[in-house]
Amino acid sequence: MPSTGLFFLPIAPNQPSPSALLVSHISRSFPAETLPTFHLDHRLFVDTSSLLPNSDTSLRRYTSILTLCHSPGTTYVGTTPPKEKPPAAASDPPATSPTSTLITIPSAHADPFTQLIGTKLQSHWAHRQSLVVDNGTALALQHEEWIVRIGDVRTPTGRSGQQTASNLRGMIVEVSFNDTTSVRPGRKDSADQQDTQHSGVGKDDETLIRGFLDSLFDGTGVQMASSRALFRNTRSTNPEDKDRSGVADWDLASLYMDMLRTPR
Amino acid sequence: MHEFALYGQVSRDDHHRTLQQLAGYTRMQPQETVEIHLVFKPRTPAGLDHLPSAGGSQGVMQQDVQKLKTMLNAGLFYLQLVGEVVPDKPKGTENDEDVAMSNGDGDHAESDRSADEKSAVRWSLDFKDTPEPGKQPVSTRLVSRISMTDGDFVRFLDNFGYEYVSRYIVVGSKFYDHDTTLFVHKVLRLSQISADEAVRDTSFLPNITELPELDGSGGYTIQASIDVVDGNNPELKERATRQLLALKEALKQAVDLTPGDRLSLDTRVPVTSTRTQ
Amino acid sequence: MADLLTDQVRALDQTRQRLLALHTSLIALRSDIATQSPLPSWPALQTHANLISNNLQTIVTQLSEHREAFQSTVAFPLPQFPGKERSFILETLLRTKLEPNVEEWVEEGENITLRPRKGDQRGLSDADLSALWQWAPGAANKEARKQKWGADFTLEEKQRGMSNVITGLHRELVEPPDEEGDEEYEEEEYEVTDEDEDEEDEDKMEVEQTKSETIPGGGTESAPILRSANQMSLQSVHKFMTTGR
Repeated sequence: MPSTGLFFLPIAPNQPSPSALLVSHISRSFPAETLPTFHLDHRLFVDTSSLLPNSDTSLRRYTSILTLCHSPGTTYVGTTPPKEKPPAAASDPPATSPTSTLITIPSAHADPFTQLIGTKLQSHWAHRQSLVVDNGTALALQHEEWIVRIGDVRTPTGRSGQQTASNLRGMIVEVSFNDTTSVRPGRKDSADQQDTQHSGVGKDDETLIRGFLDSLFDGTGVQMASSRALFRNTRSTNPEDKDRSGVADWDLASLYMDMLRTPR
Repeated sequence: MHEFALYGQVSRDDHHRTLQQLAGYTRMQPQETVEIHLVFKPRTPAGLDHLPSAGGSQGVMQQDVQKLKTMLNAGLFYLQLVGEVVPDKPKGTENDEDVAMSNGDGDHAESDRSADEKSAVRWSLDFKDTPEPGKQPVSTRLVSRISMTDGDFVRFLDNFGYEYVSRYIVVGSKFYDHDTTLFVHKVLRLSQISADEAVRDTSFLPNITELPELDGSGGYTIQASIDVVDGNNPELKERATRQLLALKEALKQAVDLTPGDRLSLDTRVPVTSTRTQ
Repeated sequence: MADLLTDQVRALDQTRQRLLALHTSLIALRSDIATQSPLPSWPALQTHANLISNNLQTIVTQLSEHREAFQSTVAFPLPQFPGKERSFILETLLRTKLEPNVEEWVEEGENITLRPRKGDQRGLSDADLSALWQWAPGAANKEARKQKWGADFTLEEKQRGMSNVITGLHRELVEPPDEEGDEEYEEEEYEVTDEDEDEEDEDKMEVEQTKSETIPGGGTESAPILRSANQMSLQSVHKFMTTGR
């Protein structure tokens, strides 16, 4: 089961993204194999009531519609449970909300669903922010033991899609460590996994991933210290561990949703 | 997407004849359809009870608050999880054209179909708006059908702000004529169980004929509908209306098709706010 | 006393022509009935009746159009009129009253016109009349569906054997098609006329209706009121389907 670390480096207005520099540095310094482009589309909604001036924003609920290149044709819709009690699990990383409940829909239905929420469900949900990664890079290192994805996170600029500095929000880096040696209990039922919440990554793996990223970026002058980082065990890409449900990777989707919910 | 529709009724005695007529009209055998419907009702957004009274001190915020007020009052609508029961065997295997018809009662064909060991259910989230007001020749409403492929739908909807109300099942025969879908159906009652179970339960499918009918007379409802992706396009709207009216005319000997009663098709949930506007 | 205007003369002459035509057609009818054996065919009689009716109609129009002129016109003999030799015509023209037998006709006609207004006992009451009208379209429809139209025999006759039917004539007669034959015919027609949707579909429905109605015991079509008697209303069904309650 792979461990995945997700890093988000905010970029101040009118600053360039270091992503191009990083990609060329890694490609030059390591034997890296280029994978299909990295892209994603995230639409965030918050519960309308929480936008009222007198409401408690810490109880705010979120709904995300996320399309990830990792699972083509599938779009995840996640919604956070109401936060009435404080999160009990101590192992939860700080500053994250309880795990979303996820479902999948065909990507072709993402737009109609967005539209439906924006019109007929607006008393419940208000559109907050859309973020996209359009033309990111995915690299495999050490025989796909490591996969690194780097992309610029932007607010969409309509159909024309010109990439100006003004809509750049940050850079996202995904590092997946596909540990083929250690064996952990696999999960069978995709519906149950959300209850069990055993997706936390051990301290060792976290350190390993951070260390790997540092070594990759060594010499570029890019500091990931100021980035926000989230870790999680995600679905294996091994063929023998194929999910019955197909391509859905719930943990990875949750990880991205958690990250993109608060992109600053 | 917009749905243009006309509705009518078929008595139990006329059911078989109507199916024959529709089969003749559409030049196809009826497609037996079984749909499980789980009805979900929106919770009242908490914000409706906490709307700041007008004329507050923060003048700057008023505009935003006004906008939120409009959003919160935009209306609450029922949603449905509709599970289409997918027959295991493709229907095309039947060579005898008359098999479905010779039963004398469409119900048998339905039960035969669903008796196939374990039926797969294809779920989707269905939204249907209240039909547009005014005297219209056909009922027009905004509809949206989002396929749900995987996940815990009930829990998702719960977090999404919708609570489960009840379930029922719709069985019937579908015919297609160009863009028009003709659906002769009736509603069967299902025992009420928790939403979690409801979304998994298919145990009743093999014995569908034993389920109690909503309409004790055994009557059927017929819906003739056309879905138009861009329902605001006046030309397409005109065309759909024309097609349905032509159908109404063609079938007038068999069944009386009329626009639906807007009140009974109203999907809005009355808002029970402690405060009134 | 003024002379007649040319218009008035022409109107008089036209009326004379029309009356002459009516006269001719009446004579023709009478002679047909009197001389022909066997009696003239039904269509022929119908043609006569139509002709006479048309003539009457135009005469009535003509008379009412020139009513004023005709009413104010009187006939008087000129001195040169050969009163002795043509006394019959003279008397007829000068007569101001109708002939007794004509007066009887007029009276009879007037009585007929008055009858419905007096509420003649032979007519139906309003309720019965409206009930009849309610019943009639359905019944007519039902009767119509019992038959295969376009044939010369009824289905009943066919069942009993067509050779037993006395037609009085010997010519080529069309017999109504069988159920099976009918269906085949339908199918064929279908494939051939793939264009012209509406026409064809309309056709199809009609045929289907007829077919199912000729099945014994399938006579439920005439009860559209019965249909919804104990059936749940569409509104209730929709309400339940919308709200789940």
